[in-house]
Amino acid sequence: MSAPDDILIVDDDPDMSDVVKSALEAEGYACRTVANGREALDEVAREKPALVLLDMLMPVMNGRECAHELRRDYGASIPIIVMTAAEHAEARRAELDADGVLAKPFDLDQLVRAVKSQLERER
Amino acid sequence: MSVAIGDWAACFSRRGGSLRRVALVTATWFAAVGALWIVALDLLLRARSRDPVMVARLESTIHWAFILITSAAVYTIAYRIAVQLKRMHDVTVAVVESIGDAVLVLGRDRTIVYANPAAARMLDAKTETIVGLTAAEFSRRFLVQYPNGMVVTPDEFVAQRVFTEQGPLRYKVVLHPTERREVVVRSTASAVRPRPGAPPALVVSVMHDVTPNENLSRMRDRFLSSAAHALKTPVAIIKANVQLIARGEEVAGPSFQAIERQCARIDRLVQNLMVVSRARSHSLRLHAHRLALAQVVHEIALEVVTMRLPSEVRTEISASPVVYGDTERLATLVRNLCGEAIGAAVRGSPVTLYVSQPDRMTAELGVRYQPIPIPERTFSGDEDYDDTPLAHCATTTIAEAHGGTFGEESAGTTATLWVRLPAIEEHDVGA
Repeated sequence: MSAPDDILIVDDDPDMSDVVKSALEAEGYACRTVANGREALDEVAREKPALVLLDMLMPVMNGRECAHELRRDYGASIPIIVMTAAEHAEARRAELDADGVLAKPFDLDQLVRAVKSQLERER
Repeated sequence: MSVAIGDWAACFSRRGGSLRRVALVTATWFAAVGALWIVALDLLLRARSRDPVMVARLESTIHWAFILITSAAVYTIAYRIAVQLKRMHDVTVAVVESIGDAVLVLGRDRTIVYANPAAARMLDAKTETIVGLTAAEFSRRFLVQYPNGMVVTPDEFVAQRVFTEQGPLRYKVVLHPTERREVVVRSTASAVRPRPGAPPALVVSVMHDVTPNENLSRMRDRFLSSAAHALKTPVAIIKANVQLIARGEEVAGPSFQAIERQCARIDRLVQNLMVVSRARSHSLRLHAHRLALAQVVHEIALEVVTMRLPSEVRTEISASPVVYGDTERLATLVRNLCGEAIGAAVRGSPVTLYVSQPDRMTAELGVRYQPIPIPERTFSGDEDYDDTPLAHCATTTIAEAHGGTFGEESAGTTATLWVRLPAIEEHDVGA
């Protein structure tokens, strides 16, 4: 049996990280959580995840900056799904060159579907 | 300007009827007096002298005298009229130039023939560079846009349309005197016609600067937009937790606690919105009474302990000042201070809520924290929405409503957000 896909959840709100983590772990994924973009870059450097779920508004380093750094250092090898409360979520995704976007408030089914389809595309 | 005033004067020919009558009466009187003068003197001379040579000489002298006197009279009248016209011209120019709104006058050829000093100030240009501009040149120079960003074509300028349409015409547009400066103006254009139905001799366009109002309105819209977006995250967390509970995949306890925390977050946001909106509508009411500031701070410290925060919240009560205040509003203020400090503090560093009394008349409450160093901090720009500006505005409003002030300072690695309120002295108690 292969190891579960490792997902990195980047969000400064622990309640948000926890609920996303619970939903994904119930689907069999392994999750790590960090609180800002800087911690996310350190975590990715330590061990590359299969996918990054990225919040936008965070202290220290926000999602935009983090997405740019990830693209600069790893290219398209790490899929990024952005979680945003902003209007025009799809435009935001294109602007950040992210692979997917979840507009808050999203359904857990939507979350799981987005992660699953993204990982399948990568295989 | 002289061209403009000349054309302007022509417009008064509507009142030409009465002016012509005055001129006619004056000329008639002049002719009657002249005729009477000639006839009367002629009769007088012929009665006094029989010598035709003497009569002729006297008549000639008298006629020369008549010419002299009438020339003097015409000179006096003309001089007085010129003085009056000059005074009217000067007053008109002074009035137009003293107007605080920008005034542009367009001539028959639809170019600008006059701009007052306010127009030069508003457009950040010399009067000489504005005068002579056509609509197309004005459009290129000042990039005229509607407030929604659409470009206003020269044909759509009210000052151009009013040449062919019934005026006055009005609209609101944005001008760009420089690359970095924009001015929002409410512009009104009126045609000045020599007589009803005639083509305009001039068009007067008055531009009133509404930039401050517009900025205020944009700030309010941004507040509402930011509040609406800030609501999405707690709603997302509540929704996801409810779905988890419904699936039975999660132990309900932590989910319920998360829901409770997010409800408190929404409540704080709504409280801040209410404070700001009531302050803006001048309907903010305080249910003030004597209260111990330390008690309010202590209760909020107990409340935040139940939350999952990235920083430990400590309290430091060095005095117990009594203030005259609204418990609920002050509690909102303390929550805002605490929230702002936690958001800006280095993760894991403690945040200290404190109460002190710097002097007999002043009570101080605030929060000290270790801020994230600036080079490490990135700002959100417009990519998402944060409720910090709203909380900041509500905190200032509550502090000022209590006769206090809100400020921030930093020294070394410590930053402080403080609110100073008037303390009640012992002899005021019960007053």
